[in-house]
Amino acid sequence: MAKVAEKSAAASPAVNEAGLPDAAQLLAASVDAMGGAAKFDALTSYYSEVQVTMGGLGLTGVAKTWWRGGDYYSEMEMPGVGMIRTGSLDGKPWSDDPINGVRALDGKEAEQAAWSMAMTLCLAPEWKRHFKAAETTAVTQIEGKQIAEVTLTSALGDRVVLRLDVASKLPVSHSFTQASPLGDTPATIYFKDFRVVEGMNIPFQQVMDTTLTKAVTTMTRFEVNGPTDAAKFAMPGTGVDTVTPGKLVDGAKIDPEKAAAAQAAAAEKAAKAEPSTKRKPGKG
Amino acid sequence: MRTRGALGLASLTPLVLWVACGGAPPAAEPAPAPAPVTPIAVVPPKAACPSWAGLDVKSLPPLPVTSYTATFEQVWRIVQEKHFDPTLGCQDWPALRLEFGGRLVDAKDPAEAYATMNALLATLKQSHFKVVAPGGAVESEASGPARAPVHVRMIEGQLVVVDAALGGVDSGVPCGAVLVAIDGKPVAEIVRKIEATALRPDEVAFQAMWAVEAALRGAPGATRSLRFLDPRKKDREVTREVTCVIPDGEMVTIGNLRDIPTTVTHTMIPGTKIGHLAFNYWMLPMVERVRGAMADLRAQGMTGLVLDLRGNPGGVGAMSIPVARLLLTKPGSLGKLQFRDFAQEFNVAADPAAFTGPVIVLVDEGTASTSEIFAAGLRDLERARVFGSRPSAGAALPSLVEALESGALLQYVVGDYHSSRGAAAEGDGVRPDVLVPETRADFIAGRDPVLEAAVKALAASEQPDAVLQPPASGPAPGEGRP
Repeated sequence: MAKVAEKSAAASPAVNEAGLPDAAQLLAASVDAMGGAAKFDALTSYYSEVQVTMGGLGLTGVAKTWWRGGDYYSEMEMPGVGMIRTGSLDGKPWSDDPINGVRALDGKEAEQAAWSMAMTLCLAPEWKRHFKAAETTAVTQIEGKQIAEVTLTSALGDRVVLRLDVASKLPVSHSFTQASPLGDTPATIYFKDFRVVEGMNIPFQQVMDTTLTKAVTTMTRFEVNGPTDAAKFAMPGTGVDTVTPGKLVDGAKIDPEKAAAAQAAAAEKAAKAEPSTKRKPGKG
Repeated sequence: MRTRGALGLASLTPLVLWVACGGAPPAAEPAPAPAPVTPIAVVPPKAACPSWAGLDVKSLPPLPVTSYTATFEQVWRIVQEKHFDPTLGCQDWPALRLEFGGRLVDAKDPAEAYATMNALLATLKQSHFKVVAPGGAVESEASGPARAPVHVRMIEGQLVVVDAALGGVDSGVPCGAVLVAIDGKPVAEIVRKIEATALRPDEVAFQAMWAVEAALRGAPGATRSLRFLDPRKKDREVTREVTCVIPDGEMVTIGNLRDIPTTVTHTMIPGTKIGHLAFNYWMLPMVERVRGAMADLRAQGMTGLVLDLRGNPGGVGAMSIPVARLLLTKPGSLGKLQFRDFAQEFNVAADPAAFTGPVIVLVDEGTASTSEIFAAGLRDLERARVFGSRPSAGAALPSLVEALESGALLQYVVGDYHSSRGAAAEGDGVRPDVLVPETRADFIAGRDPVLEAAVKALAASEQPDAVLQPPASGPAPGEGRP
């Protein structure tokens, strides 16, 4: 991919100091291409099902997501791995996976959770809610198409590079480093198979490339403005982890009585879990 | 708005990292024999080594066309693209492509072709490299999901039966018996073959164990003819037909790895408050069973824990985090994974309710990969001591198992591992803090000297003023390799 700063290539009249198309105008044009801001404003809730496959690794799963006005809950059962869940209520995101357990998200992870599940597709319609700045940093040629790279910067300084097709204005991909307790993983998500739903132009297929692995997600169900169960959005409170004081949990959620009760419940649950075999020790 | 399904996966990259060796059976049976694990004695300076990361593969000359060339090219290419070291150990990877790709012309059958591909991978001199033909049938005619119900280890240079039963089925072969032949094939031949390729004595023991395990496999109900020295009959040679049985345990499938029999066992050592916990793989669905075992032991008043990882070849590396969390009241790292383009850390969050009593981890030559990462990591955090009769397998590189277009399975290394204090388990393995000699006589007598030593140490730590301190690194004073 050769970077080409073509000052004259921009369709928009405004340019930034580097002579590249103005980011705000590009993003606004992208929103129009995706159906217009009014369509997204009219979206109050949705439910989606997405088939996830991880190529030759043989891993598959179905992700189900409920979203309502910024609150959300998403779950995916992956055979051999277990249940992976994320959610957010009142702007307080959380996650639950077989490695790290239930935990409240903060910092960069919380920021990423917010924008990744944003109502608006590919960041463009709601970029101002999640990022403090947008700047066009390049116009490139990719497979014969002119692609504008818009770098979005969050309040914590996290950066996402959103690529827009200059001709169609539709999003092509975005790149970022996924934060997790284990470290940052570089990732790029490619958007494909755009289809119009309720006036919104939506990619039904996304390919996530993390350099080591590729995950293909294909949307199989998408329902808008239906009823949602608000009880799904809150962080689960029945596990030890959710009430453990300290890094893992929002301090405001800690209640000593609840903590004690939940720990007792968790211990009871663990004891009742399919018991390991009791046996005589030793390999001999 | 639908990014989250994929986005969540990015943070879960460790889920797909398979850190197992030897006993980690790809979908096809039998389990592939472990790749040779040899320390690279001389590594040329990296600065002098060309990186193959930016190689234009379209500029490479074509290989002679055979039935296996496409698979070979895919194997070669995946390693070139995904290995954590873009110099591939400072090897001329394009030249090796020509050399080994050219050899495919001489391959008479799939077995020879896949042997050639594995020979290419063996040039990397690392664990966790293996390509298995579709169906895996080329490895052994005796393939099958069942096996003769005995477990064999190399003790004092002999292949000794250390477990006489499997899944509740008694083999009739006594503990302490020396295995002489399987279906008429002398096991000495297996050992000689391994000795010819392995560089370290401990590696011979590791590979011999897995080679014998593979030879003991078969279809359910099939029989294996075992010839052995019977200690009950003054070591007279005895031949016994033993029926293959399906290993017990809850079957777990993850991706291309199917029907892995997983077991979690626990007990309180009689007459003590010392718990014994063992599990045979690291698979995420086992975590709840491990938690349940710990809860049961703690409910019984456990004061010290023996975590028995002998014979555990690894599995999904990420499982080490929730298990470590059962033992850590302070946050810590089990070590660092370095990939080509990024790094990750086995960060374990604290659990104030974690078990705080002393912990001893048991290892043997069959302790590999995630088990080694866990043992090394926990020791570096000064949370456990390591007891064993010899170092662990020394096969601790994160890998992926990928289905190729031909249906073959490729396991390949993607990362490098170092403990939080910088120790590399690959090659040398995890050296026990306390080495406990094992003899054949121990097994004949039904003793487990390593476990006995651990229990004794934990019992001593319960005495007033006794402190069970792990050493800063390496063996404790006065304790060395046998």
